Amino acid sequence: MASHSSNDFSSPQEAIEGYLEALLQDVADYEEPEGLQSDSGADSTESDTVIDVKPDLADASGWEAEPEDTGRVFSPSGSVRELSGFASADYSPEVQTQAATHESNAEAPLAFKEDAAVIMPDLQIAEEEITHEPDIQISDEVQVEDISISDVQAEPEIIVEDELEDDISLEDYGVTEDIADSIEETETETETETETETETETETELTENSGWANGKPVWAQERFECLLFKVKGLTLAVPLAELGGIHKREKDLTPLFGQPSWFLGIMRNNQMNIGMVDTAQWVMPEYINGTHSTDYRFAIHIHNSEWGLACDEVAEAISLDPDEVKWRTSLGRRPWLAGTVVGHMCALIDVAAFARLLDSDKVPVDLQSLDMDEE
Amino acid sequence: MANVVQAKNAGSEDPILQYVTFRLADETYGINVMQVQEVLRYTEIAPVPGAPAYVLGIINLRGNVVTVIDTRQRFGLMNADTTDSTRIVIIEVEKQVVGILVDSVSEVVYLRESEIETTPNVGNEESAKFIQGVCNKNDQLLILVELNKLMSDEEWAEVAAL
Repeated sequence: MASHSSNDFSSPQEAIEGYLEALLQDVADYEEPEGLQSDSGADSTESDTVIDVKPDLADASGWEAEPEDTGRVFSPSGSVRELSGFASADYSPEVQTQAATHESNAEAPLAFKEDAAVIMPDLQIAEEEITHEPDIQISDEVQVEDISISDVQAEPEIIVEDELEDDISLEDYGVTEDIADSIEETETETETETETETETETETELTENSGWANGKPVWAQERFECLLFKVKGLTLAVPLAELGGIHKREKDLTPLFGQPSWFLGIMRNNQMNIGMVDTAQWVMPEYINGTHSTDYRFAIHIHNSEWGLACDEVAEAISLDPDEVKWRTSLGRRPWLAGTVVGHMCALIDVAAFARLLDSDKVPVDLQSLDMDEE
Repeated sequence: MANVVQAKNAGSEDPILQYVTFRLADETYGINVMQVQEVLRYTEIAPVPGAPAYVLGIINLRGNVVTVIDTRQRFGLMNADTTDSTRIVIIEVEKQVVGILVDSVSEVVYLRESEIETTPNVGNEESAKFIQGVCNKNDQLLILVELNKLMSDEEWAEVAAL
């Protein structure tokens, strides 16, 4: 998250630009795993560490047919930490696909070595800019070999287990418990290995929010309508499908003691009580200081909930195509964020997730400290 | 006759409650009238050395010593000066008689139990537990306070020991 030193909102444009820039950066970070798993050519401008390198490598060697993650591993970021991150998150799909193609082929390791050999000239070309190239090269080779060996070993082990299970009566022949234990250990090892592989595959699914399908909310499977509203100069959007209503604040709210600062109080309107949430504190806590004005004029009531998002101005309703939205790929630290609409320079709120978060026991009290902790 | 019985039953299902309302920091609060003994004008409160922060001091009420609780401190509100409207509400909670200092006392209102609405409770401060609910009365929201939860058992024992 890019931090801005200025906290005053005298310049709304500045606030919007700074916030959306940071927000989009976050979304880009979240999207990295998916981009790596699915397509190789898209999103070449998304990642900080990969952006600068990938075009260089591609231009230098012209290896368009090469898997993308080999190019990513040789990124000149030089950070071992980043590389380990790539290795854990990015390599598993690659290894799985290659292991599948060379499943019973003993030449699989050789194929990886050939890839590495092909890449070598590229690295030498890039060596002028990279100082830590030898370290990166070694770590990459080790990772590839390790993973490929484990894959190859996994299959014969499973076959042996089946045989041993069938021969449980071998205890009569003097098979001790130690051997049985060791068999169980190897069994669990192979299980955990295969589990870790499947975990990386389903990681994005587990983190995905309920009420989402095909990587986007249910209400966004087709073209949908949104209402734009402004909070401290920042434009936000809520889907009309989950909009309970717009309430104008006609009198002072009723604050409740002992509540967090982002809970402004209760607004009585149309025979119902709405808990007003200081949207600015949630959406941009880094810009909010203790003395910011909470003189909001409207409340965007979330459908089927007792919560309302405070806002300064209600703008217009727009129609959006799902492709116009850069959807979030994981819950991250902003589960209320459905995505960003670059065309309208606004953030699209997942109001259902927001309401669920507010109703849950895990709702944070001090948003600013939470933001600082996560930074 | 049957109608009368039916009405009585309906009343028992949704009893009418009486609440004494008072003002504190521009908000209106309500406490169960059954727990209120009397309302006093502000009199000088004698501070007690070593008393907890939520204890303002003691007063002499017809020969009895009554501990006065700092309601603003208890509710997490800012301190304010006393005015002509300031009152000490004598309440009986947990078999103890204590006074709570409030900005003013308004009236006694009648509420049906069904009219009490729950409030969002997102705070993890102790004071958030004092709120029993809210009720819309005379076009304003009344915050109902559960006096029994105003202090913990240890704190009540501490007050009793003063």
